[in-house]
Amino acid sequence: MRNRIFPLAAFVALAITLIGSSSAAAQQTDENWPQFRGPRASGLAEGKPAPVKWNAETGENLLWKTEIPGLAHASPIVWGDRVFVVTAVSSNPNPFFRHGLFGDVDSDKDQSKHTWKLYCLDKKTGRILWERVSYEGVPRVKRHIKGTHANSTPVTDGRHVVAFFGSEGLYCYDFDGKLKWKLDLGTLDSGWFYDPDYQWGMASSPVIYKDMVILQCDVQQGSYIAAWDVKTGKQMWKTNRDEIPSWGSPTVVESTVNGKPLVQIVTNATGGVRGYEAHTGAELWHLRGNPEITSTTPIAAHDLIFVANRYRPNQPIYAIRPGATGDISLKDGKESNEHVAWSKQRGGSYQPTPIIYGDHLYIADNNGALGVYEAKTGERVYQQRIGDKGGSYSASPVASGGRIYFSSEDGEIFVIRAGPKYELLSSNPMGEVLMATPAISDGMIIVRGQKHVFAVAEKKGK
Amino acid sequence: MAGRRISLLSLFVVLLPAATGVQAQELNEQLLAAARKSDAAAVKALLDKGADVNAKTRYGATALSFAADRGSVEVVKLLLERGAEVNVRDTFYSATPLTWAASKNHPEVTRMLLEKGAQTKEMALSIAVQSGHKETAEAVLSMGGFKPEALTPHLTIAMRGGHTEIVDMLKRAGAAPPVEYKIAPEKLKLYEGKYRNSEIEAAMTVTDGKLIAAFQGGQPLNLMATSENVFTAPEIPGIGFTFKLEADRVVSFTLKQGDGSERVFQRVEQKGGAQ
Repeated sequence: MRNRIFPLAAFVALAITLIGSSSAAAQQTDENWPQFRGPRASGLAEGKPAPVKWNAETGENLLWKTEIPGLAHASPIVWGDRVFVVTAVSSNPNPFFRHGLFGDVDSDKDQSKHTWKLYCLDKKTGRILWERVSYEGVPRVKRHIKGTHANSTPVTDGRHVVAFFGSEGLYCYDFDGKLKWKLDLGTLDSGWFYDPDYQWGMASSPVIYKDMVILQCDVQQGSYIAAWDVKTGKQMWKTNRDEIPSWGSPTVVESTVNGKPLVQIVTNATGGVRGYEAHTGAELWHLRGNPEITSTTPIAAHDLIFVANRYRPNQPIYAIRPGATGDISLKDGKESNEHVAWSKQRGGSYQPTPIIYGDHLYIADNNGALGVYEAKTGERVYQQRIGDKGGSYSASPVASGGRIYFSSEDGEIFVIRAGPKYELLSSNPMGEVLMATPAISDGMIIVRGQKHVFAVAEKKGK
Repeated sequence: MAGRRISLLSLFVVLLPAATGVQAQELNEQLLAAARKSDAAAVKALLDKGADVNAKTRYGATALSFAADRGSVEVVKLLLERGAEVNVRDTFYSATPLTWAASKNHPEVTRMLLEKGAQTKEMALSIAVQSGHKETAEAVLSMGGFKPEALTPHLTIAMRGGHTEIVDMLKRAGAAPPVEYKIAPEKLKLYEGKYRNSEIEAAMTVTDGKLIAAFQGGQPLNLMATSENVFTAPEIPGIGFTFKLEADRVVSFTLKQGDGSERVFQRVEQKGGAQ
């Protein structure tokens, strides 16, 4: 009798586990924004449309506003009714920070004790549900004067929340804020390639694929990409990279090549764009021809992988077919080959990651210059300054409901209509400096300002 | 036995230069690191051991480049005494040690480099004025050798930046305010339109009676006429726009930059004025 009951109980327990895991973790809906720039870094949230017009200063269409201390360029992430944000709080009450367009390479000199934290907020009200201190101490590596010690966006699979704080470690919590595991990855010295004493800090954000959390660590010496079991923190694979510091995030790209499914992790860095087999970390292909500083993240659409960069000596845009193998670098003077569908050596962006919406590729640069291209062919459709004026942009655009949202560092979010013609729909003041890319969830735009997290949505009918 | 001795000797002869090369490379890297740390004692010790005073990074920067950036007077003095090349230009930014010293507002190092024959005096002054670094601007001006008309663009920049002390310095050095050549608004509209060369597009527009140039992806430049068809960008010393007219139509402009290079932009679209 006992033997018949035990197997049945075990089966039921297993079934519950499987059902639970699929409903909590695997269901990617339009309410979830689980990583930097949303699902697979696409920046897209369809379903309930986000608002066109709001004013965070007057309260028009502002649902809530929650103060978060410290400095962070990390974006908010969302799963279900939870919003997660990170921050780094200096014990210096007035940490130096400078935004705007400038070329200074200086590191901030603040060597005071900092506190790195993860917050969980209620998505509907902005109420802080819990907060956790991940690390306290003097930063091991300095930051750029335009950067922070919390540049990397956390990632979630609906059960775990993983926060990356550079040299201060990698942390995994459950949704109740219980620390599941943490890893000290050592000192991750990332900074200016020209003079390594100018330290700038890390910014690459982790991603999750199945049960792996994957991180791209491009530093002055000893760069690598690695995957850890999200449940235990055990390393699953690690691949060394011959790379100097970079600041973009890896992207999971799922495609079908010759009738077979292929999942690869695509990275952007100075040494080139690379694709790695997702389960083993084996390098599949490599495209050389990037500038000396790279900050953007690869994106995929229309069965192509897009990467754009802008620094000396070039400003390339590449559209890469996903089934590449080996060295796929372009020969001198060529704009395409068997694996590169099209490319340009001008028009790329320095920090904002491009976005594909519909048939078009939108590339917004740090100075507000927007170039729009036919995604499949690279033909330029138009060029325009966002908001019809100059400005400074670090955040990447996001899109919803036929509209694209651009956050200016000066505190305005411009909304344009997606499509082949430029049409400015609105300009929405937030009242504070905006460096982080917003999240969109369930018709809400969740914005990380320098001092607050905001949620805006159409209040009518709510 | 003799054969083995010879073969061992051959091996030694082959390996010794390689080992020496590795040691030399290590010394040079240590020298560059010491210069970045402004450690004069270490720099001297490494030079005494045989480090190459002009050793370069992969980007062409030398110990002097780094010392100038840090404003390390003692290290700069030591390197110059030991034969550091004062006008070395890196391969990535085309910057010289003087460029770095001026960018970081190190007047004493700037003066030392100039006295040793550093040749980017114009760029050093431009950087100092644009950045509002009055100490370095003063150091550069004190070296003399500027023609008054060459100081006018810097005066314009200083005035626009609100750097009043630098304005006074430049005026004392002989700079005169720019004189604008007046072009009738309807004639100014002849220049409006899109232009292009093989690399980049440019757009000319007229706003509030001013001709504005915008290069693809760049910030707009206010242009000022100095004659009928020649304009300067007062905020960028040394830059000039010469428009070519054919039968009262503007067909192109030549962009002349401070380094003497010229680029021709053909008109592709006319916005205003006669067709």
